[in-house]
Amino acid sequence: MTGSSREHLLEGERAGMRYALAVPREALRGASGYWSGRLSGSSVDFKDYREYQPGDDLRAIDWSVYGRTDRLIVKLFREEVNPHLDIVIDCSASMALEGTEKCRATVMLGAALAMASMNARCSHHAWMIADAVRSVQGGTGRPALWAGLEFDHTVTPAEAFNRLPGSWRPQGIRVLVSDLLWPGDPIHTLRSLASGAAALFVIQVLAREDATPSVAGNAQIVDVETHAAVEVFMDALAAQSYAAALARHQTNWERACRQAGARMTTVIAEEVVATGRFDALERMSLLEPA
Amino acid sequence: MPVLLYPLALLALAALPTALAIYLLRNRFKPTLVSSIVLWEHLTRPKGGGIRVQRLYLPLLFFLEIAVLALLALAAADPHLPRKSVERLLVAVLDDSASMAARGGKGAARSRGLRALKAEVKSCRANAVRVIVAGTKPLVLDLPAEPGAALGRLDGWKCRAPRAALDAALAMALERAGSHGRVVVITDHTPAEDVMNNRVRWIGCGEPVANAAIVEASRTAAGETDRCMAGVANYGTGPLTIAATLSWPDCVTSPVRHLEIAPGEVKRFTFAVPGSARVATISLPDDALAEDNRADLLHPVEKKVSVDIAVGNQVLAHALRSAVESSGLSSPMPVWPRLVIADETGSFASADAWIVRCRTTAKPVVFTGPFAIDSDHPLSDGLTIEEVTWAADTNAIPGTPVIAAGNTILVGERALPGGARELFLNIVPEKSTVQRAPAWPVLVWNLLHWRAESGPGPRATNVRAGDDVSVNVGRAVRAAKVKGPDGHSTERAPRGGVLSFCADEPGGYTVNDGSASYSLSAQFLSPEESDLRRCATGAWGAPQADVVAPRAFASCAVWLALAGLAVAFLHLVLAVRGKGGS
Repeated sequence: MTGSSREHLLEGERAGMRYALAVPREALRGASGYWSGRLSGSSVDFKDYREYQPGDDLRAIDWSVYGRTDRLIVKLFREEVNPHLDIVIDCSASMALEGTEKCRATVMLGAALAMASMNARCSHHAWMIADAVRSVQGGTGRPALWAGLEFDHTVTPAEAFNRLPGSWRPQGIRVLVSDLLWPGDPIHTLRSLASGAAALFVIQVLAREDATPSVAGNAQIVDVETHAAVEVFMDALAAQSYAAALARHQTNWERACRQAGARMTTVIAEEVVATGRFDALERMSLLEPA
Repeated sequence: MPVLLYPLALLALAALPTALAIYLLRNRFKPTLVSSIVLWEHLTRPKGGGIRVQRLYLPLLFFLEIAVLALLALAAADPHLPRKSVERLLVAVLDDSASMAARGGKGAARSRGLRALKAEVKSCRANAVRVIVAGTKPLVLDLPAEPGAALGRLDGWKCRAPRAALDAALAMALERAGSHGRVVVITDHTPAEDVMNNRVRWIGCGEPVANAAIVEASRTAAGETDRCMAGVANYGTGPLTIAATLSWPDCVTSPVRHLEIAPGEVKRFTFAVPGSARVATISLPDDALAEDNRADLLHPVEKKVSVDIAVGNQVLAHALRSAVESSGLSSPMPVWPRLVIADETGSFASADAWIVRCRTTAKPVVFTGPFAIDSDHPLSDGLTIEEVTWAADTNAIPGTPVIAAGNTILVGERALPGGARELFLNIVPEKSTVQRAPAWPVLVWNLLHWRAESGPGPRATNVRAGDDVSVNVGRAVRAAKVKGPDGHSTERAPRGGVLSFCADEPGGYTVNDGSASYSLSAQFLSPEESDLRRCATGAWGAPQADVVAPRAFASCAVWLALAGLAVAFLHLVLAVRGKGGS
């Protein structure tokens, strides 16, 4: 964890202070907490009556009703839950592409999501996709205390999920922060991530260089992770072709997200860094003003 | 192997690596890191692409540009390629003197020489022949270069000339042959040592045979009877008895002179011929050489001058008149005299008369010598002025000095418009002794002879073959026809009223200037050619191998430049149409 990354986490904390996690109804499960759950629990809020069934807590029998009606009626109270947010951050080398703000924006997003979760009195857990899906040190606490967030891995998220998927909290909210630029069908990755989740959000972080490359003329294109290279002659036609390929790639991911019940948005790293706002996340109902 | 005329122009080939560098720099791929090449792999890749730069992408236009640069650089160097057809030249010098026509036991030397020449052309594999005939002057025959055609048309090789200018012809042949051609000399005698070199082949076809020849012949007018003199030589190895026959038109019985002549001796004899006989012929019996067995002598020219002496000084007039009468060159004076000798201030009506103006009245200065004489002037031929006194006026007289004493011109002359001459005689006879000295009649004879020689007609009717002949035809004549011994007429242009030509063959010549016709006779009279004892057969000089073909080259710069422009045009077309790669 470098000093600059720590500054980026603090930047993200400051930006996330303005937001709170918009908890979907499906996510109202979990340990005892601030939020009212969908099930009956042990809170003081009355919910309903029902007939006693063997195994029910004898302490929940409403003895006054038994006295009047000679029926064993059990009082039900509303459950109090604490929703959980799993923040999955792609730490491959492409997320720290030299000359771009992808790394800074990704760290800011992770930190902001954690702060928004804290603002919404939800728990959170930060994960990083390295050689496998691993927990960020201190990932359940303040983002400024996170450690081990290094963007130098060369394993694709799909392969990392296969190697060791994260132990996500059931019915939690899961957010994947990545550039999504790896080959292969994304549906497998998304289904793995969406399994048991109350909601899944996919945030594609692209550098402006990824969206609209400034390469012109002859160029040797080198993959920052695999170091594979291709030689191309970049002109207006090639730029159009690249834009079309990127659009097809994004469309493919959006279709996969729909199939997996996830919502997806794309942000430009440089714009995020410049504005410190997450309007796109608001539009996808992930964040809301605090 | 091509030869480059301007090899430094090849420095322009440095443009080739420059063009290559431009393409390499243009095609170099700048490494660029991206997040993933997933989105790039489908983009069009350069042909033959690879990780390493360029072995890959040199389009057709590049090779066309390289070709244009190379072709233009080579064209600027002006390469010369060896030509396929190369002339292997043999220059033949043919002895055109009469001795080549001498008949011996093996036939005429000319026939053997022609066979030798054909063999020589064949042996050295020459494919081009030039022929120079060595007569009195070398003459290049206008023949086709192809050997077969040239050797079949040697009509110009007549073998009648009284001498052969072989040295001049050989020098001309060596010049014509250049540095690679060979020279062969066909003659009838051995070569001089100093004319041979490794490019000259000398072939002698002569045969030493005995020959009798007329080597001297002349005819002099002496009143009504002309005197003829002839000399007959015996060029044999033993004593010779021969009959010389004399004849002329209207001669009833031709006189015969029997001569006994020792080997190498010339026997001379004289005989008289009527002055009315136009031609007198001396002939010898046939022998090895026909040309020297006959001499035709025409009646000699008698040119006389009508002289009018009108000098006031009686002493001078007497001296002049005596000298003129004794010269034998004066003729009775017609209406218009051709030479007028008068006082300095006289005037004369005749336009073509020569005038001698005599200055006799001034105060004289007596000169005793030395006297300066223009020895090249016709008036000074044989003139010696010594031990005499010449009194003359010291004032200047016009004209070019002929005889002078110090700064005083004693005799001067100048040309007048129309060809006449004006002479000045500065003499005071009363105080001079020159008019009584032997130089006086010589001076007057020269004056009359000069004037007589300027009259129309040949200066001599009997000449030696090979000599230059001069015929006065008048200044108004622009062209005159000369008919030679072979009957062929040529038109020649006189210069200054004098027609000059070379009588290069023995025989009769006729000159017709349109208004008058003059005859001349050229006698062979060539002892060197008549003496056939020194003729020899043999070959000298190294045998001529194949004639070395000169290394001829032709420039191909134009073709290279045209090819370069054509490729450049193709480049332009492909570039405009967007083909050829980019």
